Amino acid sequence: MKLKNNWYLKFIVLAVLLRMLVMPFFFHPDIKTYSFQASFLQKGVWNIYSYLPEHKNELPLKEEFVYFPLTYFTLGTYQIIALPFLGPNFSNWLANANASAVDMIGVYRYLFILKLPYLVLDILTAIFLAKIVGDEAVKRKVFLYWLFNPFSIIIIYVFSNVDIFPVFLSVLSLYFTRKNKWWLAGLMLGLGAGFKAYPLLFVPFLFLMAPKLKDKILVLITSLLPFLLIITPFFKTPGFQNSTLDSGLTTRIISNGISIGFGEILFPGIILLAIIYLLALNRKLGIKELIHFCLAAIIAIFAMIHFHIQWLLWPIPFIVLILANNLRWLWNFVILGILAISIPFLYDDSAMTVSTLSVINPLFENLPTPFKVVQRVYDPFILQSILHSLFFGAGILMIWQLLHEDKA
Amino acid sequence: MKLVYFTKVLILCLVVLIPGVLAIGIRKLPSGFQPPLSDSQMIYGIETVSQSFIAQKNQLSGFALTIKNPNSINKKDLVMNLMDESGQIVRTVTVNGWSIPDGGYINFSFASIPDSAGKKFIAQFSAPTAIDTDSLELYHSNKPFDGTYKVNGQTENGSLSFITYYAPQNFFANEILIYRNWMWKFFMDWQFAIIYLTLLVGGSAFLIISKIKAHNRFAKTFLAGRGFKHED
Repeated sequence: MKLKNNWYLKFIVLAVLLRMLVMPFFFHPDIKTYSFQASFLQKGVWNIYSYLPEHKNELPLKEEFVYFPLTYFTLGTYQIIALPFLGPNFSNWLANANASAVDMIGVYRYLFILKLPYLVLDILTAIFLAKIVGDEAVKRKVFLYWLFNPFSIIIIYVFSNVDIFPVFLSVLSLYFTRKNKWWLAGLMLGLGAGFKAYPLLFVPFLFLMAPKLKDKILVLITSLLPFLLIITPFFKTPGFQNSTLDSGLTTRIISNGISIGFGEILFPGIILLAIIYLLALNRKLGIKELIHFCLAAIIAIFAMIHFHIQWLLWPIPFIVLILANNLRWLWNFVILGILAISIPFLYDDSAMTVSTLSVINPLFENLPTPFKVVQRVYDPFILQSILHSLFFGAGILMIWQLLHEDKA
Repeated sequence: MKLVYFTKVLILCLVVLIPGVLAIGIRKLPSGFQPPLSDSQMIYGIETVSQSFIAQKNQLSGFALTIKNPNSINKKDLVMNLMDESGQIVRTVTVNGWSIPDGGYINFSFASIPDSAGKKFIAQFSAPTAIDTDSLELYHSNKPFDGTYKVNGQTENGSLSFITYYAPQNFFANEILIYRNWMWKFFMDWQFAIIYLTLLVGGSAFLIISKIKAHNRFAKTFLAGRGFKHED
């Protein structure tokens, strides 16, 4: 696959154009919050987890930093580089905690420039995903499925969270696995976990797949050591423990369960993961099986917990690779995707729907959210629960099919 | 290729059409942004809190403010009487404490007043059945405001932190407003607008040229296959 090849270049240009249409005109408050927090790197703040609680009273945005440290350092460094292009009012915009921030002149420039790293990683993800497969026809399908599926465009550029960083690193890990470069594959997962913890879910599969004991040890060391090195300097900071370790995936997976008495609880997410890992232990894993098992682990998590819409980016590379080889899964994934995306759409949070248009005009904030619309006729929480139950059922079936196909 | 076409259409709709379609659903246009909140005024029993203001447009249809309901304990009626300059009640809206979350932004919506522009109105609040232990509190703002704020008929400093709402003048009013403001805000940052449009036009030109070249290449191959010699 060469970029000079006009076919690839043509679709990259088209993909970039489509993304450019979305980038400046859709807004989720998260991008402003974490960009505000990352802006402290230019002021020499190294431990954002202690800085924010200590200066809470004097800061316009009071939120804590909930991501792992690499997010802070990567976004902070990018802001330092991009500062000359962002203009003099950028810091005022970041610090503006009022609703009027979405209506400030320059907001389109800020959103466009802040989302540029996502665009680069998004295109690189397509290139490396295509490099994972051998056959040219399948390669082209993978390339197109990643670049032109509407799910990833909307998740990356409308909801604009940092998930593309670990997603790209997970894809790189798959690429290096394909090349039998085990230490690099492990390292990419470790670095990915430096942004968000979920790539650590794939480490056991990589460990099992590595052919020799030396490779297995390399996978463990290169994935876990960088992750530990990234978090260790902040581990004793209460802000890190409270905001990062106690938020998101790390605690949601143990947020619900079945009590078996004497204070013990069975956690369904962990039960399902244990089954998947044990199944992997008894299989001979190749690249195809690895993709299936990684996807099964992600679906198991989503089926069991309350998830953010941005997390739905995690399974897309695996789905793309599976669909490029076998289109018969298409409708299963479309149904699963629609169910998954409609659950967060029903959260009582305008930032999930109508408020994303607030930079076009703040009037959109006055529109009722799907939650409020449903509330007029039915309990939206029950509808959400029904959708999540359907997703659970469809997800469990999908896991069974994925792992059953491997066996066959 | 169907996927590429589908996504192209979807993204174009998302960016160009969806804002216009959703704009139809906006039935209330705010007068501006809510002033920053400062402290709050308790309201219960015979106490009244009133705020005068001049309506900016016709079709006045709502008065919204932020209300404190500590621990959501209040389950009683909060009444807003909207009076004209002569003190005549023109609209009355009652909201129950059940539907007021603590710190909730509550819009007292009423049937729009067609000829409201430039006229003075007074929004008077009372909670006759509430007592001091379950009272609601209306948020103030320290931001200067041209209107009189009264508690139990006595003029006080500051104002309520509120926004007035207006119904759209006609069906297309929102559409025009949305697209006009969008373009205005985009072109106000003209440096970005030029670079952004140049990139879009440049990328589109590249795609068009690629398509023409591919078409010519195909034509050459096709003609050559049928024994025709292509002359440039």
